[in-house]
Amino acid sequence: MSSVKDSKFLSSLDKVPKQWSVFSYRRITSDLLNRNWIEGAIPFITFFVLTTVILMTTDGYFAPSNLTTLAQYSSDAAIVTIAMLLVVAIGGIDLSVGSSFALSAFVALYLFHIAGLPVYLVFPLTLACGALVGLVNGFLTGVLGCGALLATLGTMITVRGIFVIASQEYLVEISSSARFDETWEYIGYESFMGVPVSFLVLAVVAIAVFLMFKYTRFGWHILAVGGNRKAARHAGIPLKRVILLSYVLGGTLVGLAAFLFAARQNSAGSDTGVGLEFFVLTGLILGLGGFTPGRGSVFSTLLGFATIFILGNVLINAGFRGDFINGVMGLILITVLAIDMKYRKERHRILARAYLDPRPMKMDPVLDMGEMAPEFGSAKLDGATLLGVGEVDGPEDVILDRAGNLYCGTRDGRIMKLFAPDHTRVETYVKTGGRPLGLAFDAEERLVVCVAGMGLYRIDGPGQIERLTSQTKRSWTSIEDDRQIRMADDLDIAPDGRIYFTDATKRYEMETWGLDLLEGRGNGRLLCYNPADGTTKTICDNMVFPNGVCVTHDGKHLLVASTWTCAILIFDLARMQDGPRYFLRGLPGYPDNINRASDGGYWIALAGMRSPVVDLAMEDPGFRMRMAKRVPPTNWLFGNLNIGGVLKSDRNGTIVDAYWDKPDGPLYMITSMREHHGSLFLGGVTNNKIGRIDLDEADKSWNGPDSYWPREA
Amino acid sequence: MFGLNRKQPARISLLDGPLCPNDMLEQAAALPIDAPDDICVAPDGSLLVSSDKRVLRLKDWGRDSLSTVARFDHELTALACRADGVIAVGLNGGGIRLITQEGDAASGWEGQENGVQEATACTFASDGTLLVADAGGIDDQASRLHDLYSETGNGHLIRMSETGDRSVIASGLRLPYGVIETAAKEMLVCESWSARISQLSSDAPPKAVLQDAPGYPARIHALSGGGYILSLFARRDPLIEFVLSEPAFMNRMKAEIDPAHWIAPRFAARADYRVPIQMGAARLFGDIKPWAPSFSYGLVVILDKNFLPLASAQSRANGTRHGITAALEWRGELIAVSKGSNELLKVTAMDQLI
Repeated sequence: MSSVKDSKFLSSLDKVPKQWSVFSYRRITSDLLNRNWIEGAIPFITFFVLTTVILMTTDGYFAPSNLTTLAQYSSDAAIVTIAMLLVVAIGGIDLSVGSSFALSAFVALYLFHIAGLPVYLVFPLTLACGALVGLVNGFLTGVLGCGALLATLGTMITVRGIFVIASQEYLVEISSSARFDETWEYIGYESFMGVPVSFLVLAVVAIAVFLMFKYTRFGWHILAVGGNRKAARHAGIPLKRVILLSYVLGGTLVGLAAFLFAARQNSAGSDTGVGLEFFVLTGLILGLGGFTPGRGSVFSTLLGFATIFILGNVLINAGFRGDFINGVMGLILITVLAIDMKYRKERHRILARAYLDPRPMKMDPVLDMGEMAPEFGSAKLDGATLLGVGEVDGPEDVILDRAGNLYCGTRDGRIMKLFAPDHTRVETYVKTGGRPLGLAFDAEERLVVCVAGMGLYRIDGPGQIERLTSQTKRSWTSIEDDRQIRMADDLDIAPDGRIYFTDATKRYEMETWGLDLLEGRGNGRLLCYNPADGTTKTICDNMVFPNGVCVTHDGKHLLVASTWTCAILIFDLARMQDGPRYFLRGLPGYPDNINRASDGGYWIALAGMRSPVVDLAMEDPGFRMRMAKRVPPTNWLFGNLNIGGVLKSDRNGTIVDAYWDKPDGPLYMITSMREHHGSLFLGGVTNNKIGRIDLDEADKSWNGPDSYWPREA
Repeated sequence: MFGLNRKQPARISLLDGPLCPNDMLEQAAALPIDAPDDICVAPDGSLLVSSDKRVLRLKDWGRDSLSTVARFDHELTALACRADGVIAVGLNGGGIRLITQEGDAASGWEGQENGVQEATACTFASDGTLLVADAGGIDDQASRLHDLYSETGNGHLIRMSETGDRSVIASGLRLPYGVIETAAKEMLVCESWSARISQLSSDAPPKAVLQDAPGYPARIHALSGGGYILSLFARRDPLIEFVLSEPAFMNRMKAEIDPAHWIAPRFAARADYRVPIQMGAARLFGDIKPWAPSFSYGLVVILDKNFLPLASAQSRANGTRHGITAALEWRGELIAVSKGSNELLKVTAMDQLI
């Protein structure tokens, strides 16, 4: 068989224009909304805006001396915020932090000034005081299961009562104490390399809690319990213990904060810690962008706290009354919660709306099929032998080995083997776990398969499956991480062993690929896996639903079906960088797989028929966009997938024959076909059977594996 | 914001309550008829059926008792019979013919035969005059679909009599497809493309007695004992309603595409391969789901005298007995014409239905 496709032939074909409309504001918005870090950006932006305003209005606010003072005075409250985060992360709340803070500070002052204990004893006892309050809270909420809000309200009042009684007894005595201790003074007033000690403590706590949430089992347990208590329980997480411990840990941090406060202030008053819970909650909610259990973003929280602290500080400096400042804080709290609730409710809707992003697409006029159009001529697929009826669910691709055994993928992830000669014995060959689509045999007659949702796999024998690749290089233009191969569709293997395969769409899945037609955008790509070094490369990006792949008979070119444009593209394997040219355009239907025919031509499966109305809709992206918004998905306009067929092209891309079933016949949406010893086997992705017809004029000795990998004579 | 300025979608009644889907039309006994369109009952109790260019008489249920009453040069588009035996026939291309039970021209109606553009339904009023629904175009599917996609109504309701009087009772109707006189001497007109039934009386403005129908109403007949039998030739569809709200697309479709390939309601379930489908109508394992969206549907609804539905007989998306253009009660049975499957259907005994 001589090669006709010399370079002259190829250069006579039209080049496929490059698609530049992959960029669009809508896609960028939706991709951004999809990223997880976008929520963390809210406190950052707020903080940035606030500091900018202060920079523009106040001279010297960010001078080093003022910053040091701010750091010194904010550290204890910041640590309490982290304590609150621990409790909120587990799905609780702790209103008693203010009281506990006051009581612990009192304990520290009492032990230091009146009991005269050394600092190394005062420190752990103060922490123990905070931990004790946390233990009570944890016991009430975690072990007894009381509501966190009311339980901690109770401890808040009780602990405050104890503090008031005790402080009335001793505060005068404490403030008149003259005890001096170097360590105590150092903690309270000194700086280490210009940074106040208390701020260093805060930094250590923040990093420790960050690491705890990120890397430790206990941290993960807290987030799991806060995220979904029931699921955490089913996963075997000891709920009571985790809740109890997180309250105790939170309480301990409150004790630590109180110790720093005591060392700095050396006194406490009846108003110590009053309103602290409200203050840190406002910071926390601003930082988390709402009241969200199950999130342990320490630094966002601290940023939120810093915003609130600086805002309060600036307002005080500007001479506003404390009541007014409290009012402002409350307003911020309410606003953030309202915005968050609205955003959380609408986010998926905004996302869904912005995600679908149609572009105008001018379809080529339909080739004149003449007598080959479905309405004329006899239904050549009528009366086809049906194989594996009811036993194969969705054979997207079919393939035969040299022995004549038939293989196909199914919707539930299996690859079935239908045994030669009559294909009535059907067995599961291998289970893939994804959705097997395209199939090909390599030189050793091993099956290589595209598994949608997973990648490219090779089957070494019954039940033995091996992953070849599931990722390619990330493209630099995409905000969305597109390394993962999302919908591996069809493949073919070149004589040098390289596997060319398509990732039909990077933006949709097996269940939602229909949306890709509505979009009509170049979302797919052609990839190449090189078994010699195990690398995967993107050969051509931004293709419109690249589907079937076929290496030409001479082994020098590659045919790729672009389903939504109803065209077959051709690549020169030696000059892939030149991009594709049109091999065939203006097909009357949506091409799926392409396979070799025994006479040197190609079989092209049509999954459905083009409709003039759909072609018109493709030119009008606004129409498709509005349809997606207003019409239920089941009523979306679609090409006629209920009639399909097979086209026969000669080696130069001229349609020479067409095969259709009757309008209500069993072979309707044809997604693949293979010729084997004078028969044509037909698969359909939504069918539950494989058709077989006899080809009268075909070479009865021809089969696929021999065509690709000729055996030595 | 907050969804206050969203456009309200078209209202379509759900198939719920008495309209819950069933497959009674699929189960019905059927008599194949060549291109059937309308039916009426003759004074002798036989059933008259318009079939392509002929009027057929069915004496008893069964193919053997079919006989031809009259033959015309054009397809028939409407059929009615008066108590004294005069048969009114609407012809494609305009014109009304009045014949006797034997098929001869009836006397006294000279001068009334022309001047109607497209009779889609007719009925004799109690005073012996003939009420004709005139769609106002030429009778083919294409022009009717053009009417669907143009908001203006071209239809009229015309009253004519043997004495030569002729008056236009109502104009601007959007595909009037059924007409009947009620016991209270008021006229009811089914306006298909408006999916409603309007009541017309000589001294009051038109009043919609049934709105937002789930399908496109065709002929309407009275039910013995009060109430009505309404046939609906296709179901209304969210995609079609959406296209109606897209003037730019609609106009391009009208200008550039053959009406045979439009997004449009249809009589028959099977269509050209170039007709699009709706996503939910894709076949799985070769079958279309009964609940799939479809451009054609079979639906007959029994209404009480206040136009509330009592019962229905249906053929769903996976069926073939779609395009019900007429249905009436004959010898205690519900009889329906399926234009989609070219059949006359004997659905069920009326007393089993209500």
